[in-house]
Amino acid sequence: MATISDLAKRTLQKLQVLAAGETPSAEDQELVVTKLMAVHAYLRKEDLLRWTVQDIPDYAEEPYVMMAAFLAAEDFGRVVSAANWQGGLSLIQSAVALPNTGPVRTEYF
Amino acid sequence: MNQTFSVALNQPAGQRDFSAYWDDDYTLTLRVYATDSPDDTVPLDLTGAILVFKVAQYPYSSNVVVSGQDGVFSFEGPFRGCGAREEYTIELTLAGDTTTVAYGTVVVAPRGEQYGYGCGPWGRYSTGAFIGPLQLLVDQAKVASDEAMAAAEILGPAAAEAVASAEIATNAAASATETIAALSLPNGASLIGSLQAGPGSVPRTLQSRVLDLVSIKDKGAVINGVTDDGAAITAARAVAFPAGGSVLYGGRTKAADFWANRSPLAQEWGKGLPTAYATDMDAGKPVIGGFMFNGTPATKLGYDAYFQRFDGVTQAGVDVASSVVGFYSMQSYSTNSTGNAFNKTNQVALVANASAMTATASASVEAFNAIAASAYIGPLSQMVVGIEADVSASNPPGWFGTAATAYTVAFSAVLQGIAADDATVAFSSNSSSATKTFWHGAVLAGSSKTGVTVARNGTFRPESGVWVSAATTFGVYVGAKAKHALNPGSASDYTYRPSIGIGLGQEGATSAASHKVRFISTDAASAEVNTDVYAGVGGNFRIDFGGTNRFFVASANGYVFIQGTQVLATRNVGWGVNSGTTSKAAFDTATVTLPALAQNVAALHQALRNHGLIGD
Repeated sequence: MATISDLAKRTLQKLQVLAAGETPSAEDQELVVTKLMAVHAYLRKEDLLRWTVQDIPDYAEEPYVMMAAFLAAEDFGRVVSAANWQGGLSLIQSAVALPNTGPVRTEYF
Repeated sequence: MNQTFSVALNQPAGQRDFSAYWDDDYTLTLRVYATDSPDDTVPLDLTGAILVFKVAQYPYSSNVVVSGQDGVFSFEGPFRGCGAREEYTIELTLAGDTTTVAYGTVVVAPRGEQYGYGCGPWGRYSTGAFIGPLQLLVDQAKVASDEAMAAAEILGPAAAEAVASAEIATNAAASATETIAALSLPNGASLIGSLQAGPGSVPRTLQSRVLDLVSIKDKGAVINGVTDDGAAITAARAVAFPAGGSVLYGGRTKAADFWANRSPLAQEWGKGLPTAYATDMDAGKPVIGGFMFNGTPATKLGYDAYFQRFDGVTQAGVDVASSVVGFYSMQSYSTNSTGNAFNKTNQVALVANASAMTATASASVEAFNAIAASAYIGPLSQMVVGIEADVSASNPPGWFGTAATAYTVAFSAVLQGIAADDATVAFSSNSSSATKTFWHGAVLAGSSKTGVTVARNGTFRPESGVWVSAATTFGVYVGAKAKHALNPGSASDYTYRPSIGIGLGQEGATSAASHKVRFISTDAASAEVNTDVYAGVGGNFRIDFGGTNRFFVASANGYVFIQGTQVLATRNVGWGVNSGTTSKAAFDTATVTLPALAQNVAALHQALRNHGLIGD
């Protein structure tokens, strides 16, 4: 599981605002956290949340980064495809769908 | 198998789905946060809380009393059946409140080796008959997903942000609406906290603070000077005083009872004890604190409000160890000379009154009453200004009792003689009137035993004008200039010249400097020149003249006597002035010549003339 701060750093790296090993500024960090929380709120609105912001599961980390990067791109002068938003959303939708029960065999009597 | 969920109490119950093999032992860990916020990093300590895991339509539930931060469930399989989807809820009971914090679906997966035989006591297998409809649903979902993706390409992040913002705004608006509604209720002030600055402050609600000062407007007072606000006043006092609060009035408050025609200002503090109302010397008149008294004398009569008053009143039937001291000042005004029932005159008064309750015979009774009055009396419009202390039995000011002998100290100074010039008893009078002749510094007058006594020790009583018993060098020192200049030979000078009679005592005097009576020249036109009269060493009577001061015996029959024999009288006149040579040389009476004798007599003659004993 990751924290919002971790995901903020990853988002800035995805936007190429932050190079590997660098520490984000407080202003950049605050802006990206705002975008991540917007993603979080949107997922709640869509009834897709299965977690709290303190414990974002591993499978949701990258979708958060993708969607937040799309939201924050304009603020950092970057161009990020809307496919990031849709792709992240699809991953989330897929992840929270009810688990498959596996192959079902025909029952013979 | 293990599964960890996290939920937040500030959000609705969260959906948490998971899968499990039907016959596995299963551990579920639940973390509960207060809010779904990155700032809230530590889960709540659930020690003592009760978590209940319930599966619908299935007699399986698990209660767990949490002993730590995380609530942990441990299940022992099996679930109802492989392939089943079990709806469950998790309820949290914390501090007596039960909340559903999570719900969801448990997908019970079968194991492969159980193929063909079910996988549990209530085993149920899915069949191929369901595949077709499910595939249709999948296809429909795919079409919807593609359409959603196309829409998202257009709306994309803006829609997401708008939705998120709208949700935040909606929640904030709802919260604000609820807050405003709650604060608008009559008890809304009880929802607002208050804490005074500084150490020792105690948290209170705004509602509690409001009760500290109850306005009569709170009880429906109109305060227009016309409407009777008596009921509002009574209601406000009934609320404020028992709670230790005060009552706030308006400047034109009027009530039909004791407030009639009065215009109390500012604030009223309640009496100390309920019984004080019954024993108060002016029962029914409340204490008013204010700093302005504003009325219109030409249109309103009989103002009688306590401008500012402090009463000290003991409870009835209770002995007091010391005097009860009270103070109040009163200002009243009336255009009618009998309109004021308190003093029967128009006046501006400052009254200080102290009295003690005589619950026991031994209780001390001390009183002080000083009235400074500025009054207009009669058509002469002449002002009387005085300070008066009156303890006489025949003219009690009102609260002194009846026995004048009970007072060991009394002081009275009254300026009288309004129309005439002869003030009889006065302290420090002053007049700017050109028609007045006299300005009295201090005049003491009495039929007997009246005066001033200054006694360092003992119990001297006034038998004369001034009695002085003091251990200092000078018992009395008098230095003054007469208002009128002394004009020698002037009739007015003799008429109004001040006279002083002083008796001195000498004990063990060793210096000529002690016990002097000093006469200071009062001629305003000259510098002051002193003449000291005193008892010198050995008791010799001495007069020390200063400057050109001289000794005069003014009376036509004045003589100087020594041991009963006259030694000096008035000048002997009729003597002529000798001519020729004078000589003070000694001579032998047996051989002296006539010229030498005549010269010596002429010298003696001249000496007597020079001393003033003889003259022309």
